[in-house]
Amino acid sequence: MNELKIFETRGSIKSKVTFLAVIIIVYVLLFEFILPINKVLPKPSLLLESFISLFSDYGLLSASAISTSAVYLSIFVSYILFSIVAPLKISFYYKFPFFISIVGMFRFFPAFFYAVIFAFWFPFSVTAEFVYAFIAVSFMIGISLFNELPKVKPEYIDAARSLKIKETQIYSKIIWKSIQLELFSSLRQIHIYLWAIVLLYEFIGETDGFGNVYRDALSFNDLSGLFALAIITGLFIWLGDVLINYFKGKIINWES
Amino acid sequence: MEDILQVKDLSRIYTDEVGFKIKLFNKINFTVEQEKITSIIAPKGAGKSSLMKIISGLDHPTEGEINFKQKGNVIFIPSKPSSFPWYNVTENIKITSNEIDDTRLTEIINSVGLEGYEDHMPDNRSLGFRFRISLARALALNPVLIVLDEPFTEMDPVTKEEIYNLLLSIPSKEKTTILMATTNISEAILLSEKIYLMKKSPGEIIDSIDIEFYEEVDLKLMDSQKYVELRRTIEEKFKHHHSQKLFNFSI
Repeated sequence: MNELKIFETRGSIKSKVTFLAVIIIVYVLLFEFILPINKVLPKPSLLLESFISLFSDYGLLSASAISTSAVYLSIFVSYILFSIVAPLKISFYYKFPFFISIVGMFRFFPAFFYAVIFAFWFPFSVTAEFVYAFIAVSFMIGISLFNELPKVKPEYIDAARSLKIKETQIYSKIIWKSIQLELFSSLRQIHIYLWAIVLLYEFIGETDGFGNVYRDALSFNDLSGLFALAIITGLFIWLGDVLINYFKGKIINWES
Repeated sequence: MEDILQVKDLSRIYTDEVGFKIKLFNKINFTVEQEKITSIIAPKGAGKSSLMKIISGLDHPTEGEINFKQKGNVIFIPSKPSSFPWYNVTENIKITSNEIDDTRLTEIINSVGLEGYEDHMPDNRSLGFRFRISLARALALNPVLIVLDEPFTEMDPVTKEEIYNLLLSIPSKEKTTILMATTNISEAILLSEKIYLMKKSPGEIIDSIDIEFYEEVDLKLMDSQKYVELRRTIEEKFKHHHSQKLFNFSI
């Protein structure tokens, strides 16, 4: 009975809003009136001003256009490409699993390294940023695909073979379809991870985008600007997550 | 009716992880009569699934012959639900037979009792629903033989009874033959006209029994004297073989 109550409280929007309101009130009271000058959190009135100055002084509009395009275009293009070449990819995965395991080892290299090396090779280039994001997301989708393949139910493959479905069609109509649910779950995580590495790339490579705005705000010691930027970035990532979940619901109309 | 399938001296040896060669089944011989349901009862681990896959052409025997008297499709239906949940009922049926005309499609859908569910997805449905789709998909290819591997393992008794009656109607209605592997003596008695008993380690056919054909299955049949006697006979044959094996082993 108690467990049920806890679950209901967690799920209630009203309680979430109340909790958030309390946090905001405490924050406003504490940092607007009691501790207005500190290095931990910005003054609420300054934070509000920073939202405007991010657009007017830091050029956040064009920066957001570049970062979001880099993230979402690369996810979209990569997913479409994977869908088109799914039979080829899957057959390659089945035939050369050792190759994939070796390539998969590159995931243990820190994303920071890839960002640095890419910025080193192609400095100050938005095109390079798009290519970097595309390679990163394709690599991550590829690894997810490889991880999901052994989980495909053997009865689907047996049934398909028995029904004399061609091998390429088994890859596209059965295996690729059957891993969609898990692939989309991975895509939500990949999306968050991709934002992190794109921001890192922009920060290091000083290319236009959110990452560069972070760099500027840091160079000006603009604490409120950094917090405002974090809130906006968070909103973008949250909206992206909602969008991916929406498409998941539209594309996948079945349960595992 | 003549035999449609003759299995002769079929053996399957596989190598385990350590490298030992293990005989899964040895010199299996049996026949399957056309437009009838034939069952193979065997305990778990006797190699039923492998045998069914080999007959369906999904795997290869180490030695032996499989002779079909008639050319055509042999469709394997696995023990776990195999209807594709990302396609609806019609798409599942049409996945391999796009040319199937609407009259035949309706006929098949009616045959397996899926009328009114043409656009439904297989997910969140009963195992019986998913089995009907698999069966319809098989029928769309006009198979000479449908191979069922423990099809009722996880079904509830009510669904089982419905599917038993559905299966009984299929051979004559669709002019096809069914071969079924099971661990369940009851369903073999209720559905088949011929039962082969298969032991394990290694898998071998130890006996066969002809059964009276039931036009319709009612689970009350399981209370009949005839059913009880038949079941006892089969159990005795398995027990007898087991004790014989133990005796040989102790010598």
